[in-house]
Order: sequence, then C-alpha cells, then structure tokens
Amino acid sequence: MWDVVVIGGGLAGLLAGIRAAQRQKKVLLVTEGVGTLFFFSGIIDYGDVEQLRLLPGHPYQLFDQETINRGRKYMEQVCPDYIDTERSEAVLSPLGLLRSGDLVPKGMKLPNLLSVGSVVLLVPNGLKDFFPEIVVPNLTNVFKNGQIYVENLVVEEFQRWFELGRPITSVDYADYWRTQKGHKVLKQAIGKIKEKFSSRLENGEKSVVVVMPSLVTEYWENARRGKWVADFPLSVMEISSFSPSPHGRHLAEYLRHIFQDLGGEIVFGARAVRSELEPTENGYQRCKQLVVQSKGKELILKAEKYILATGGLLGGGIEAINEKREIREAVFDLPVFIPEEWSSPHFFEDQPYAFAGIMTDHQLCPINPLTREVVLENVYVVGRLLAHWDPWIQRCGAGVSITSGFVAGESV
Amino acid sequence: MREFDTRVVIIGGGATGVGILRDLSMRGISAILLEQSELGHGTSSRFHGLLHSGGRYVVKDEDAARECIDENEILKRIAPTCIEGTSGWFVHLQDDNPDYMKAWLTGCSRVKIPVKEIDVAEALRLEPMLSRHVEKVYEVPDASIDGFKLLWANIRSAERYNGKFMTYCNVSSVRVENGCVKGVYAENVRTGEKILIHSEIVINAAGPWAGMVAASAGAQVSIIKNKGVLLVFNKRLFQRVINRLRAPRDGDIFVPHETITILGTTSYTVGSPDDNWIMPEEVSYLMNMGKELLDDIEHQRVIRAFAGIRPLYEEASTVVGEGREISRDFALVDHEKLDGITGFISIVGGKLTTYRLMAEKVTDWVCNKLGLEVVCRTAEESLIPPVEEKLKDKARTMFGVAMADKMMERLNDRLGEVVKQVSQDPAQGQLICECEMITKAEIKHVVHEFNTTSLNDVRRQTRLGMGTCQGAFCTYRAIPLLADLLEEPGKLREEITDFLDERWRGVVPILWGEQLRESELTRAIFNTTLGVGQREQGR
Ligand SMILES: Cc1cc2nc3c(=O)[nH]c(=O)nc-3n(C[C@H](O)[C@H](O)[C@H](O)COP(=O)(O)OP(=O)(O)OC[C@H]3O[C@@H](n4cnc5c(N)ncnc54)[C@H](O)[C@@H]3O)c2cc1C
Ligand SMILES: Cc1cc2nc3c(=O)[nH]c(=O)nc-3n(C[C@H](O)[C@H](O)[C@H](O)COP(=O)(O)OP(=O)(O)OC[C@H]3O[C@@H](n4cnc5c(N)ncnc54)[C@H](O)[C@@H]3O)c2cc1C
Repeated sequence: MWDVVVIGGGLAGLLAGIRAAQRQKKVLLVTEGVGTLFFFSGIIDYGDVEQLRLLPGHPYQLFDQETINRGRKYMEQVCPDYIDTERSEAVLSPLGLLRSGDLVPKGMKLPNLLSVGSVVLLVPNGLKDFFPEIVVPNLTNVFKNGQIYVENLVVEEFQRWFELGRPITSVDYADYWRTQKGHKVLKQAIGKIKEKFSSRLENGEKSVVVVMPSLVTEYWENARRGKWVADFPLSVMEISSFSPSPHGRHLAEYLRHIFQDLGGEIVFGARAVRSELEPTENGYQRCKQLVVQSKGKELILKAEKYILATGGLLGGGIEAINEKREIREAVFDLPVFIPEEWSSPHFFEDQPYAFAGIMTDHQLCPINPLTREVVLENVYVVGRLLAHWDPWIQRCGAGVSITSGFVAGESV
Repeated sequence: MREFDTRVVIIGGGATGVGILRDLSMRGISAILLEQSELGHGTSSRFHGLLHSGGRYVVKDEDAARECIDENEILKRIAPTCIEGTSGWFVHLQDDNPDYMKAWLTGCSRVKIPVKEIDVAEALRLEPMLSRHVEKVYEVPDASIDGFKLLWANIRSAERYNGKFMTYCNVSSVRVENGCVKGVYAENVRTGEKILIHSEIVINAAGPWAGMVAASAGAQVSIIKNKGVLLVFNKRLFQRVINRLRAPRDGDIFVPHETITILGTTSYTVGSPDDNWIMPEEVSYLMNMGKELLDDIEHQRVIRAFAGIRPLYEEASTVVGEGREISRDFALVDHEKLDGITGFISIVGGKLTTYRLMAEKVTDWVCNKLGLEVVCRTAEESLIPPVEEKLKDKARTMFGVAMADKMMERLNDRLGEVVKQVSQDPAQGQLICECEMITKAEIKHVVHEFNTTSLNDVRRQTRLGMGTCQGAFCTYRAIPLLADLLEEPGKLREEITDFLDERWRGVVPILWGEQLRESELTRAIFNTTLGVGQREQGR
C-alpha cells in the first residue's frame, strides 16, 4: 500500500512525485515511457500567465498567481541550473533565432550583447539537424556589434560514422562530451580558439564567446554519472535543442534521480490499463486499485491517492479512437471535454481539438464537464492531460505541467 | 511580350498532355506543352494509382475494358519502373449478387482478360486482412502505377526527341483568327511575363479545366467535374489490388503502393476543378465502405486524405456523331466540326491507364491535319532508358539495397549524378526525409535541375513529406536548401507555412488516432521548438 501512485513519468508526473516524496509520502511512479521530455527544448515556458488566466477554463485559472509563482520557485529549487529572473529571457532557437523563455538553463543565457566582440560558432562535424548556414546569418542579427566566426570540430571517434553516412545526433555528442576523452577534446578545441583570438583580447577588444549546439555545459550533472565540470577556457553559450533533445533527456534523468533519492520508487515500461472503483461515504466514488501491465504481467496497485499524469494526445493520456472523434481516457475512463469544433484549415492557427482533456476542480480532482460534479475523489489530474489549453500556441507547456504537478504533490 | 513559334501547343501537363508531347516529339513534330502549375498539378497526381486490367469495366463497357487490358500490357512493357506488378483480386462477398459475378466472368473471357480463380483458404492465407465473408476470389493482371514517375518518364522521353515544356505557364486564351487557330496567349505566373506562342495546332488536354480552355477560344466542351476522395493508410494492408466483385460503387478498391495503401473512392459532382476539399462525413463514409472488405479497418492508421476531380465528358446530344469518336470512355472533340475553329481539338475523359492510347489518337489526328504520314511508336519504345548495372551496384553499396532501389525508381538515369555528389562529399548523403529515404544530394539535384523554388515542387519530384511523418522532420531539414532557393530571406517563414499548410490539408480530414498524435508533435516542433509560427520574440 502506497500513499501515492503517480501514473506517467513526464515533467508533470515527475515533479508531482518529487514534491510528494519530499513531503515524506510513500510514492510509486509507474510509467510507460519517458514522455515528451525526450523532445523538450530545454526552455521552460510559462506564457503570458495574466492573459491566459482570462481564457475560459484555462488550467491557470485553477490556481492563484501566488501558487503559480511558488511552483516556479520550486522548480528552480529542484533544478538550480534554471535561473528564474522573474521576467522572460531571450535564448537561441535551434535555427539561431531569438526566442523567449521563462526559466532558462544557465548555459543558454545570452551574455550582455553589447560586451561581445567576437562570436565563434563551434560546429561538431556531421552534427545531425544543425544548419550553420542558417544559424550564422541569424547570429549576425542577434550580435549586432559582434563579428561571427565558424570553427569546425572534427572528432576522431565520429569520423568513421561520418564517412559511413551515419547520423551523429546532438544526444550522441552530448554523451561524448561527458566522457573524459570527449571533455578533453572539447577543452582543447576551445583552448585553440582562445589562442587564436588572444591578440584581439590583449588589444583590449571585447570578449569572445563560443556558441554551441548540443549540450555542453553543466545542466544537472550532480546525478549518478558524477560531477561534470564545464571548465572551458572561454565562456560557452548553448543553443536550445531540436528533437531528440539532450537537454530533455538529461532533465528527465536528473528528475528521476532526485525522486529516487527522496525515497520514491519507479517502475518503467509499466502501462496502467484500468482501475477498480469503490463508493465513498458521502456518495461519491474513489479509486480502489489500479491495474498495471508490466513485462507481460498484470500488477494490482493500491494507494490512498493517485496522480494521473499520462499526458495528452501526444503523451498517450487520451486518444481520439476513431474518425467519429470519440476520445477516451484509458486508465479511469474519465469523462473527457471534447470541443465542438475540431480543427482549423491552417496549420499555424488554433486547433480546437488541442483543448480536449480532463476538466478538474481547484484541487485537480476530475469533474464531469456537463454536471461539474467530482468524478473520483482520490484522483488528481496534472499536466498536458488537463482540458482547455494549447501548450504550443500559448507557449506555456512546461509552465502548466510544473504548476499542476507541484500543486498535486503538495495536496496529496 | 515574348513571342515564339512551334507547330503544336499542348495545354495541360497531366498524363494526357505529357503522353501527347512524347508521341508528337517521337514523330518529329515540334511541340511545346504548357502547364499552369507544376506537372501533375491536376487529376494525374490525385488519383487511385490503379493500372486497370479492365476488370472493373467489363460488365458495363466492354470497349473501355478492352482498351484497359491492351494498355495494361503495353505500359508494363514500356514503363516497368513506374509500375508494381502486384496483380489484383476481384472478391465476391457473402451477400454480393451472383448474377453480376457470372456476367463478369463472361465479360472477362470475351474481352480476353486473363482470370484465375484462387482458393478461398489460400486467399485468406495470402491476404490475412481480407474479410472473412469472402466466398470467391479471382485474380486479374491489375497493377499499381505511380503517376509522378510516369509523368516524368514521358517528359524525359519527349525531351530526348526535342519536345519542350514550360511549367507555371498559364494559357489565358487560345488565339483564333478567321476561324483558324493561330496559337495561344500565356503568362508566366511567377514573373508575370506575357507570352505569345504561334502555332498551327492547339490541343486542349486541360482535364477538368478543359471547359474553361475551350471557352477561351469561343468553343464549347462540357465537362462534368466529378470529385473522388481517397484515403492513404500507413502500410501495405494488402499485397495485391483488392476490388469488390460487384457493380462498381464507392469505397470498393484498395491499391497498395510501395509502403502504403490507398482506399477509394467516392463520386460526387462539384462546381469547380479546384473544389477538392474533403468533409469528415466523406471520410466516415469511406471507412464504412472499406470495412466490408477489411473488417479491422478502424485500427489501421490513416495518414492523409485527398481528392481528385474526374473530367467526365458530358454526352450532350449536340455532340453525338461528328465531333465525337473512338470510345465511349474518352472523346476527341474536333472544334472545326463543332464550333467551326480549325486546328483546335480537346481531348477529354478517359483514365490514366489509357493515357497513351488517347495520346496516340490525338497525334494521329495531328498528323492527318498536317498531312504527315508517320506511325506511332510509343507502344514499342521503352519510356525509361536502362540504368547501367555498374552504377546500380555502386548505389547499392553506398546506400544499402532498399534505399538505393527506391532512389533508382525515382531517379532512373539521373542516379549517376546523385551517386557522384555523395561520393565526393558524404555529408550530401544525409537523409532529409527519413520516411521516404531521400538524401540531401537528391533534393539538391532536383532543385538545381528543375530550377525549383518551392518545397511543394520538391515534394512532387521526390515524395518529400509524403511518408508517415507528413513533414514533421523533413520540413525542418529542408530549411537550408530552401534558404538557398529563396531570393528574399524573409520569405522563408512564408514558404514553410505554405508547405505545412498543404500537408495539413490532407491531414485535417483524418485527425484521429496515431496521425493526430504525429500532428501534435509537428505542431510542438514548429510552434515551440522552432517558433516558426510566431513573430520573432525576445528583446
Ligand atoms: C517537441 C516538443 C518541444 C517542447 N518544447 C517545450 C518548450 O520549449 N517549452 C516548454 O515549456 N515545454 C516544451 N515542451 C514540453 C511540454 O511542455 C510537455 O509536453 C508538457 O509539459 C506535458 O508534460 P506531461 O508530463 O503532462 O506529459 P507527457 O510528457 O506526455 O508525459 C506523459 C507520460 O505518461 C506516460 N503514460 C501515458 N499513458 C500511460 C499509461 N496508461 N500508463 C503509464 N504511463 C503512461 C507516458 O509514457 C509519458 O511518460 C515540448 C514538448 C515537445 C513535444
Ligand atoms: C479519385 C480519382 C481516382 C482515379 N483513379 C484512377 C485509377 O486508379 N486508374 C486510372 O487509370 N485512372 C484513374 N482516374 C482517372 C485519371 O486520374 C484521369 O483520367 C487522368 O489523370 C486525367 O489526366 P489528364 O491529363 O487528362 O488531366 P489532369 O491530370 O487533370 O491534367 C490537366 C492539366 O492541365 C492543366 N491546366 C488546366 N488549365 C490550364 C491552363 N489554362 N493553362 C495551362 N495548364 C492548364 C492543369 O493544371 C492540369 O495539370 C482517377 C480519377 C480520380 C478523380
């Protein structure tokens, strides 16, 4: 018997689990996969909270501003590599364009643009899905007072892959930089750049910054791999990740370790398939136990409370099962809010179907969208699974997941 | 205004038009083809891809069936890399009308369509997804055919005989003086340049637009514009073409193509040739019809829907007799006889399967008009020059057999160029499109050779974005190439939007299940990771 079972190990589920475990709860997290963190750019967006709180049914309406701020501080506390300056920061997209971010990793923070004299884009050879020819002109726009240079870094270990036409992803490179050899190679390369530019620096020129794709700075390395020190001779600035994302992977791994260090237990490759309910004293229903499929076996799990963090249409928490646009929530068969309109003819416009999800009360307990009555008393819904929002267009994906995960972790 | 001369102008770059260009060129008659958009912009890229054996028509229209089986055999000979010899089954289900089956068998033997009965148990073993209600199965020489490849093979063959073509060149009107065709007025839709082409003959092969083209000359062609909806599934549900053995109706054919399957179709009269939007009800309807042949259809993943417009020839009573000949299926309309305009004909109706025959008839007519006696050779000469074995081997070692073979089918004799690029610079071998296995080198080659400036054109040439991801990753990977193409960098966002919108159009009607999931990933990547959908943010 657990105090809390968390279903789903994406950002929302992990954070809820961490907060609950920290509050001395006995927590088990079951998850099928790593969730959308595998794609996550590394930048945490909250969006325009004030504006979003005005939208009917938006998850931010479930919380007051103070709670939202507390969640944000909590995330910063859990991951000190994120800096919260209480205003949005400018960071670089994978194409080298400026974009904003609300909590950004230290390594991605832009230096004072005026103080930068030379910018060296260091490109690992054959890096997949990275386009210096696009990034350079964009950087020129960003560093208006600086001069942009490009240096290629040929890594012996990957040369063979390259010749065979095998793709080298930023995840591969990020892993390599974390080996002793890789670290040395990178340090040397940056050292060479420093040498090259030393005369300029001595002449009292402004500073030199190295810009790099893929994950090279610290970013939550206190985890099991041992401390990683990014002691480079010049300051290095990162570009945010494309998919698959080293930042997302490392964040997922880090959160998992934190959770386990707090005594939380995790079962991977476990899919919650159904639940059994029982009536409560006051005439409502609650979840009695959960049925989970793992390695071909069915496990029965019992807890006082359940946090449902299975994601949305992308994560698998809900599924549009047929062309008639019926949507099903697989674990508790919760009533789903289904918008009347489904899609818009233009890709970049609002897509109403994205608002499909589970509606809840202020405690995050699921409610029936028609009657507004609580459906299950001891179940809490968090993250993308919530109804009435669109993380991509409203740019508040991680923000809603963190806030709701934090609140659920506090209240269970 | 730019002006030049040719003997014949062909309006329309669909199968019919390119077939005519090839035939005319092979017979030594100077001709130019004008297409308002990219080749295959019309019905010839929005069709089912079935190379008919004639089985579908044999009960109602034996002439059409006979044309199909003849052309089927010819095309398999002259265009093997455009065709997959899947064979096809006609499947009789429990409650289907047995009289139709009888009539069908008699018809097939009269028209000489080879038919072989397949034992039901064996059939279910070979095609395990087939409905358990099947009672009889007959095999015929149906096949699947790739419209794009066929178009390009015709164009390249024509070019070898000095045939010319211009894309993005819209014919605004046919020029007629004193009842005689003098050429056409056209406009380059990209640059706005006006063009006058002088010619003795003008051929209207504008498919569903044929009525409008005829009207610009003061002539009349009545086209019924008939919309057909098709659904694309992410895998090969069947290894063979599956037809329902009953009077042809909606949703009763599955055609496998490489790694996908297309289910179709419907039949609905619309007002305009561009009226190819799809309603959710149409998709539901097709799914229900398809279910009769494939019980488990609901669990199959649909990756997109599309619709084409059939240019059906209206049998107006005034037309019967003089102006109309050849077959009940397609019509060659001589506007001299009908409207008193010499040198102008329209070719309408037909099927893609019979495009070569239609072209032959048109070219015979042209020869007759010009007083030339040259015989047609399009049925004998291969459309595609063979690729050297040595080059094939090289490509296979370089890219692996599966990928190399796919490339060869797309590139044919242009393979050498791409292989050369990649051996000089391995980075050119990186995949831009992982679903369809298209390398950077191939896309660059296409862009360069065809002077292309849009991703949608690249897609038509290479199948970029046409696999299961429907553009999620390849659109991103094509950005550097695109940036190279575009004269103004500011247009990049616009071009990406256009491409994604075009892909989106096919996805909107089928937004459920796995494809909806994939779409969410695409939206996340473009809106969030790349921020392309929004104005530049930050300081
Ligand atoms: C391409 C991409 C880029 C992104 N970039 C940003 C960004 O720049 N800024 C930002 O703020 N956010 C970004 N995000 C992250 C986004 O914010 C997250 O998708 C969101 O926070 C949702 O997280 P979640 O934990 O609710 O769901 P998910 O991440 O979807 O997690 C759901 C989890 O539940 C598991 N699961 C599902 N069903 C079951 C079941 N029945 N039993 C057991 N486990 C199950 C899944 O395997 C998964 O692990 C990005 C996401 C994507 C996809
Ligand atoms: C849903 C559906 C399924 C089908 N399935 C099959 C099948 O499985 N097998 C089969 O054999 N047949 C099939 N057909 C029929 C076949 O696709 C058509 O008969 C054939 O493609 C017609 O080719 P076309 O060249 O005559 O017309 P199109 O391909 O439409 O070509 C006409 C061209 O003319 C151009 N044009 C128009 N106006 C102008 C202008 N003013 N200036 C310049 N250019 C202009 C257009 O842009 C267009 O590219 C199907 C048709 C449909 C609709």
